[in-house]
Amino acid sequence: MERILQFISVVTFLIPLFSSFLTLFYSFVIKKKSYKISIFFAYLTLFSSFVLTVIFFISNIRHFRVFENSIFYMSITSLSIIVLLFVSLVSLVIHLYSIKYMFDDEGYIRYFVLLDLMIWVIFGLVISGNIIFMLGFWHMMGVVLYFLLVHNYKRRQTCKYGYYTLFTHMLSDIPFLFAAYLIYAYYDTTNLDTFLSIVSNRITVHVLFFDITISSVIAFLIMLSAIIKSAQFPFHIWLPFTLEGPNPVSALMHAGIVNAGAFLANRFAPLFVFGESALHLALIAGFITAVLGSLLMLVQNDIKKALAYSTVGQMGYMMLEIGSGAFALAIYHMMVHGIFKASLFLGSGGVIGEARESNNISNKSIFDFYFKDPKEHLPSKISFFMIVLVAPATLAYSIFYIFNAFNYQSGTLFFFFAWASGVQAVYALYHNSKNFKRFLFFTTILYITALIWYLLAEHFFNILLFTNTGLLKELYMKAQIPNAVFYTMGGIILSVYMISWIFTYCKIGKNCTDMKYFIKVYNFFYRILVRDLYILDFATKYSKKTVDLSLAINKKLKY
Amino acid sequence: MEILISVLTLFILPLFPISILVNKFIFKLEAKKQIILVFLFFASGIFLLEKIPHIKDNHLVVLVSLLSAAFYTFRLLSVESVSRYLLFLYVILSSFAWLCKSIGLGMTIYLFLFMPAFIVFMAMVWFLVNRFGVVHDKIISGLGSVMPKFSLLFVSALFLIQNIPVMIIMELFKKQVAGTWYIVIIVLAVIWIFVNWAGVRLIEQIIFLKPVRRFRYKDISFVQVVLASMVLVFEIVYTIYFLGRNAV
Repeated sequence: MERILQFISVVTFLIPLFSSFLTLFYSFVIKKKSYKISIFFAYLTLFSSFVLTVIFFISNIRHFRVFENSIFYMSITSLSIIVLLFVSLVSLVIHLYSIKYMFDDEGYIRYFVLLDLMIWVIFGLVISGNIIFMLGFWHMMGVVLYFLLVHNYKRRQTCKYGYYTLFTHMLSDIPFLFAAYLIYAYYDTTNLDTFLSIVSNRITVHVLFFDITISSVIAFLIMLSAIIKSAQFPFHIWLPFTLEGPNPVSALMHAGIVNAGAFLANRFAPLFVFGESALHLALIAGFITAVLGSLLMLVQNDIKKALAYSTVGQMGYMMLEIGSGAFALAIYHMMVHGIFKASLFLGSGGVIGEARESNNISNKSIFDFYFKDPKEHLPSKISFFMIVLVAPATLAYSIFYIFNAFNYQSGTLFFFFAWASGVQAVYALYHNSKNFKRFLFFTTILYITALIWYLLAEHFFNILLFTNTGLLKELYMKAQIPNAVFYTMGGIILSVYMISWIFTYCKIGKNCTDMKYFIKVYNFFYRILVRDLYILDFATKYSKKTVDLSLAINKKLKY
Repeated sequence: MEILISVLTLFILPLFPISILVNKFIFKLEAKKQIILVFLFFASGIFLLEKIPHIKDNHLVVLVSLLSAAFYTFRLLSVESVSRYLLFLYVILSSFAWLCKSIGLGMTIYLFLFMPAFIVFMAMVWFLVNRFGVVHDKIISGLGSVMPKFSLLFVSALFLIQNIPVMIIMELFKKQVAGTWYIVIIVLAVIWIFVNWAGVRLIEQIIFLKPVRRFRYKDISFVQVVLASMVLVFEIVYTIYFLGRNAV
């Protein structure tokens, strides 16, 4: 059975590469029709991944190896299998969508060739068990993505923003490169499984200085690499500007490529038991990114840019999950977010078209509805506060009782953001409803269902991805930060939420004269957010200065 | 005799500041002669470098070659002429050759890792000179949409050359370095970022954007594509073999 799995995994890995070359080769013969070769192989890839998944789970083998002791070493676990299937599915959808969407574009076949190459690179990253092999694919992901994004290279803006993506991806390669070097230098191996086994069994512990071990440094570097690749603050700038690329590329990127950091973190999960600092870094980076990404989304007036910043926020949540020890939940989040965001991007073109034809834009605000005539809307106010207070309390109690979720800080974090998201969702959606009570009732049911589903999904993925439950508990324990810091962070964000809700009510309410100071503060923050905290302006200014300095030296020296 | 060979090699595989004299001499020549001379200098320089003894682990050589590579990489950012880009790239690769020698790499490494992509790149520049007579980026642009085969080879060769610092870092893996060698790795990583930045700027100027209408464009022939592709594939295969040597 293992031989069959090995064979199918090699075939699945090679199909996209073969498709890429064949499509390119036949484009010289049959011109544009060679896209059909790419589509055929996309179907074949999905079929092959599906067969591999079925046989893998039937066979009860949880881990198998191919080409051991070579640079092409493939180490395939349940994580790899799930991600392979997911990426194959997304790839097929994007292939099919692109047939008509990209048809009139110059470079139609080039697009399909690069798309297949990108799928091959993602597959390579997912199945590689050799660190150098993995590093190569990690780097190639950025390069191939650059060429996909500059599809419309006749526009100067496209080239400029494509470079931001490549530059950020290269920055993420450097910590990984150093981590690979340290692994080789101190553990004398490039085999990922051997390295993780040595670290987990505490066979050798190398200490640098001040009790800082090499394993913790490696963990920190790996996490840093994952953070940069996953568009965490302040390395998130490239993500909104990838909208210069074709829509299907945005869909693939938001569904698959930007999640590579979560995959890398999961792949190195046993290492983080010895790298608390790495988990704390992920927690803080994720926290800041989740809040900032969501805030930045609110100030966008372009639907696709809003979606991009929404992805930034979601990547923040994903990194928050990793930082709090919920590695399996991050994989589930990655997949669910990938599917929903890809479908949003693929559908955004149609939505924009429809919106341009329609004049029905609602001006009602939540506070007009609730507080304009308090007597009329009193029952709604009661039901409104119910969702704010009662629903999460009931849920927390039930979950606490069933799953002991509050044993770790991750449980508290999860419920906090679930509550905030639920309330915000109700605020945002209420004006679409004709009968608010019915809307609130069904929203509450849906909300509770979604939360329980999320928790069950975490439980399921934990069993699927981590056979060692002791490792999971250790990760949760190591992810804990001092309670004072944790609750201070929670208190700050809770205050921000409450102040902003109250402020929004006061701003829209009748008596705004006392709010002038707060409006000034609001405008100040709005200006900063609209300019994305001036990070892009800063980067552009200093990169231009660097090039100008180089030019000045060239003019003076000439040779 | 050894001193003579060392001095000669220093002029053929120049390091800063000798590179200024060498480039000044080369730049006075016609574009095609520049390319031929750079190729001859580089190829012969590598053979001469092999003959020089007592360079292994010489910290002075390491320092000068790193500084030279870093300095010319920085200058590469604002180069506006493909000929000058080629000259600066030649100095950077020369610096890497000296660095590899001081690390203890054999001649086969720079022959098979450096040379193939550099030869293809030089061939593409030769093609541009032949076709257009000038290689200034302000005159040529948008070749990607009118000369796709040329563009693919140009970009592939450039990206392979740009990854040479990483190959050197990989070789340093085997040394299991300590102390000053960490600084070498860090500097090489920074050079890698900058050389890619410069490469992307060149690609943007030559391959991307809109083509200039007053030129007549004719792509490279099928035979030339096959030959250049074979050289690049050879380098890719050798790179994988090279990386595989480090795999345990």
